[in-house]
Amino acid sequence: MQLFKSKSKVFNQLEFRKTLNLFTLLFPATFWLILFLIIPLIIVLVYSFLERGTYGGVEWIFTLEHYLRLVKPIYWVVFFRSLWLALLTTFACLIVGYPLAFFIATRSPRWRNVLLLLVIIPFWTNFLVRIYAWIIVLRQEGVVNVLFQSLNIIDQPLDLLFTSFAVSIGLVYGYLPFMILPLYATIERFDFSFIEAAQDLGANDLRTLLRVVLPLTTRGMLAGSLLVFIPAVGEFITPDILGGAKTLMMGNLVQNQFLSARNWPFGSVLSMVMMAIVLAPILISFRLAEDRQT
Amino acid sequence: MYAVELTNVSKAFLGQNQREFLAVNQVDLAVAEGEFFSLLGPSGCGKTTILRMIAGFELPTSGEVLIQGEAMRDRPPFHRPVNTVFQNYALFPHLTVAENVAFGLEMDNLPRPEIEQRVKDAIAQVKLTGLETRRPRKLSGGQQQRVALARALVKQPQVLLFDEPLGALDLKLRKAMQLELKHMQQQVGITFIYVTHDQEEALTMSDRIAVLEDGQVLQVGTPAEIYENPNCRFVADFIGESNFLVGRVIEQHPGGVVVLVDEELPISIPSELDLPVGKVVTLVIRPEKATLHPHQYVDEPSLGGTVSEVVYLGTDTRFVIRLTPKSSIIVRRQNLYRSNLDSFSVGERVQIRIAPDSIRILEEGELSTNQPFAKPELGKRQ
Repeated sequence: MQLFKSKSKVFNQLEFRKTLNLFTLLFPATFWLILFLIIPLIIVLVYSFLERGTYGGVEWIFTLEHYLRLVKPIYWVVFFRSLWLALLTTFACLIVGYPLAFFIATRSPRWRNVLLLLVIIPFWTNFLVRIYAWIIVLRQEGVVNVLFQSLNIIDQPLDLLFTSFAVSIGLVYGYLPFMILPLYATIERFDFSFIEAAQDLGANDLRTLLRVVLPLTTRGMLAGSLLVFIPAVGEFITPDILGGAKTLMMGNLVQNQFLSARNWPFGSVLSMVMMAIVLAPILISFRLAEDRQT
Repeated sequence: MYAVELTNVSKAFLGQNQREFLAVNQVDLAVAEGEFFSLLGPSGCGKTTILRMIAGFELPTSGEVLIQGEAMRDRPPFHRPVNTVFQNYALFPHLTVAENVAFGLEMDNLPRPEIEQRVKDAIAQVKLTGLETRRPRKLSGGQQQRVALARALVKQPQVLLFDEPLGALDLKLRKAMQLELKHMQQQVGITFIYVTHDQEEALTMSDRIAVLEDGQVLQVGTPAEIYENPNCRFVADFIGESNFLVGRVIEQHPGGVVVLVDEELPISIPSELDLPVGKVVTLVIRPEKATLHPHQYVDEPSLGGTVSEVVYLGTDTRFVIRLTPKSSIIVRRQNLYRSNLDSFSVGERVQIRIAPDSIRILEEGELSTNQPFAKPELGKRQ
């Protein structure tokens, strides 16, 4: 407002047009977010405090009973399993993705594009199909067991399918590209003269990696980890298909409450808890990124 | 024993269209202990590649790099007793000034108190005390340069390598840093190998200079040797400013020759070289070693010419004198007195006196290369 008072009329109009342009350009995104994110979130929040209706839906009576249900250990087991599997997935993606991203980023520009394309190509196939394919790989008479048995590495087929292991494999497989792409973007911009400087000062390869390369690519690791962790925590398709009934994740609980149990308020409570769990690592990593900037 | 020795070193790179080219071509160099040695040449002459082979970032395709008499072929950069000050400094952005300087000592696993003491001393040495906790990004270019220097100096290497470290600084700061580096080198007694394309910088700082072109060493010598006795046209042209007159030997007598320039201008020069009559040679004349005199002045041997251009440059004035229709030379005269300003004007007949031993004879050249200075290059830095 200070600006508008002191400047000439021409400037005033200019400022006005700038502001108008800004609002016009931001309108679609704002509209979208309010309609499909903010409002539904409020609905979910409100529902979590209401009585359940008999055939789904809600009765407009305030209650905290659904939040009190959370103390049951059965839910904690699922929460921790989700967290554990998501963390494991993130870590595995980091271990697998970092060297790969590094490799791609250090190729000649032409090879880089080809390799990046190879990373992205699986997206062209439907997610469900790709997850179902893992059943064929992991089941008792599947590719892995047949191969290992024919090589006499194992006598009895291994129980691979419908375990946490199968779910982890599926999650890592599904989310690896989300780790590789931001890592690639960071490493590609990394100035390799820092590596020479470190070596010149007496750092061997391992110490160069730990003291220079990793700290200077933290941003990519953070971004990739968030992109993997957040969707992995809320996954319900992969555990449903590869985990069977034994390996429920939070996403499955939410799905069950809304669709099978017809308990919308409790489903809402679980959603709110899941959001809180996802929010924590985001806030922590933002704080870490801020520290790096100073 | 030499601090650094290169014996018959070549380096081939795979260029575009998969063709190999020699960045460094059979180079022999020997840098003495405690010497300030410069590698000077235009960009692409291979000077940085030589430095990188000494540091260990590149391996020679053939030949051997020796440091303190020891072959370095199997020693990675982190096991060589040299440190580098990089062109872009390559300061670690995630570490503070003190942490940057301490990095190399930590890699040597020195005890903490010693590291702290040496870091403190090094930072004081480059006059950055008080900035220890800053990040490199918050420093000026000159300060970053000092951090890079401290980071390399603190390791007390046998040899310090510099890859055009002053290139990014402005002129004033660069001149100040040149002298400071020179003093620092004399203080610490470490061998400095310094890569630059700036001939003035090399002349200012070096004990010896190697002039390179196309991956080959053309001449090695002290600044005075290189400047006064360039051994080829490229060196004479690259270091300072030179006039070149190509001519034919028409007379040889004990202790000297007479060279005919453009078939009309005989110049008599003392020379110990065996230059048979008919041989084509190039005469190198430094512009400041010629003096201008009024036309009437004919007591001593001199060349007659016509002033074709006068350029006033403040400290001195530059005259372009036409000797023959095909050849001109540039004469620089210091402006010792204010009254000198307009003593010769365009079109005036003048006599040029050059001390005969100031003319250098190069046994190269083609008769057709003489060309009048249509437009002298004024932009060239002296």
